[in-house]
Amino acid sequence: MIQFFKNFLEVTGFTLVMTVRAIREIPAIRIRPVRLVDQCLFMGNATVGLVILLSFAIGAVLALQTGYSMRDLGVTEYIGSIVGLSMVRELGPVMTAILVVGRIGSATTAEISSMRVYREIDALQTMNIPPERLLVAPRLLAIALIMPFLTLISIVAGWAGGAVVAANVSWIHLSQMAYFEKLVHFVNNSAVWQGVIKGEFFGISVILICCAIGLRASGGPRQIGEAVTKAVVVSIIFILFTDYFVTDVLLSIL
Amino acid sequence: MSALENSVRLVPVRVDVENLKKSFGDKVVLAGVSFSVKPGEIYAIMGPSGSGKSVLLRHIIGLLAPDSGRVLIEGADASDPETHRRFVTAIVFQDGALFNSMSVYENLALYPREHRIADRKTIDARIRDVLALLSLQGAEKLMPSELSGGMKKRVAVARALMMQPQLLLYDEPTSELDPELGAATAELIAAVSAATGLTSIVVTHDRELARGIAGRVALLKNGRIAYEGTPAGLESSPEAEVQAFLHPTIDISNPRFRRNAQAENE
Repeated sequence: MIQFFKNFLEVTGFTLVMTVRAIREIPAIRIRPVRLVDQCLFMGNATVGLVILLSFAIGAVLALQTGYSMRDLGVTEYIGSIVGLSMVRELGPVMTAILVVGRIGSATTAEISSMRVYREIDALQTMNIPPERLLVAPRLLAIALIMPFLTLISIVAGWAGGAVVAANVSWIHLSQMAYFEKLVHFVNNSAVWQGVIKGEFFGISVILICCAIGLRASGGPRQIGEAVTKAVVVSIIFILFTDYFVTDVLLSIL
Repeated sequence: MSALENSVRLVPVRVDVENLKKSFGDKVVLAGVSFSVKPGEIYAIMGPSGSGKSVLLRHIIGLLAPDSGRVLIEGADASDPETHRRFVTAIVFQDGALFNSMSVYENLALYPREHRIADRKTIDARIRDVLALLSLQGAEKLMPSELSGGMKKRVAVARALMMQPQLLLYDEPTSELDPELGAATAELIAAVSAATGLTSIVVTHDRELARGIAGRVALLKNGRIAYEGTPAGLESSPEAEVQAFLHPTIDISNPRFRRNAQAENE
């Protein structure tokens, strides 16, 4: 148990130091902006399609479930508000973050840990080039730039999924007009901000966790695999665990 | 050899290793190693596999910190990153440690670009020179995965030369090379040293290399320096340990694994 806490503190400390160094290196991206562009393109390409697909599906299921529950109460017209708010406040940012873990976080850890194992990071250090400059800072800035868009795309796709189900399932049969009327009525600016800020927080945290675990890897090919698994598991636990507290804070300030 | 003729004369540095000790867990790798390398010298460190040669180099380049004792570069502590900013030090890793996601060109251009040492034109010209020097013309666009073992090694040397180091460490520069390419690499190390004046420390098993180009040789065995002196002196040393390393006899009737097992039982 003591060992676990010691390890936990060590990893947290390492991640914090790495984060501070990476933030300090962000101005250096100006020298080679191509690194930032590469990361943005990679992250966007890897996730946009999946985000649309999965968010659409989640929105559809949500409409189906709420429609089923509300039919008996005769209040199916509120489906729009429930799907709308759930996607904005919770499912949009969380689903996007989990996809970011799977598509971007895992690739990040795999690349960085293999660079560690094959001594490329040692080589960088002997060249007086901080690994944070090359490997962490561009990813950090890239995710900070694209995460709001990904979250918004996810939210809109979820809404669309809900609308399609609400309009086309015979026992719900809610017109799109009625669906979106309630949705717009309940979804306000503060809710959208909550979703976007939450997504941003998760996206940045995931990238930092995945970079830190990659940089701490050592050993051989097996350890690369272990590092990737660990990064994915730790990131998902982090998202789901901190979600409660982030929500609590955001609800009280926005 | 235009790259060598164009070489900038560098101010070589002195390296002092003082009673360096390092253990990993229970395993003592360096048990008090001391030696000094004079500015501009080619110093070879020989020794059997697993004798701690690479660990020693990693201390000099600042990737490892000693348990006790110290490594000094011009009197400054090598485990302090600041020392490696004051003096340009470079290492050629045994497996090259090339950046696998970058082309040869990008590998070579990384250091001057990141430290904004020169403009693009100058960097390109230098890369052409250095590649020509290492018979790697036309390899700019290749990725490390497309290179043979010998080429990787030479690209690693090229990348280190791009830094214009005052101290250059080589970790087994000729292992995995055929004897002729090994000789060519040894000549190159000597030529670079002569042209730029830099200090070289070469970790190697290669007796030909040590004999051919090293000013002095140290033999590292069981974490200690078993011999230090001229290469010729090493060859003629009466020490049993030295001779066992230099002239191992292959004895099928009484193989080493059996002798070692016997020794352990006793």
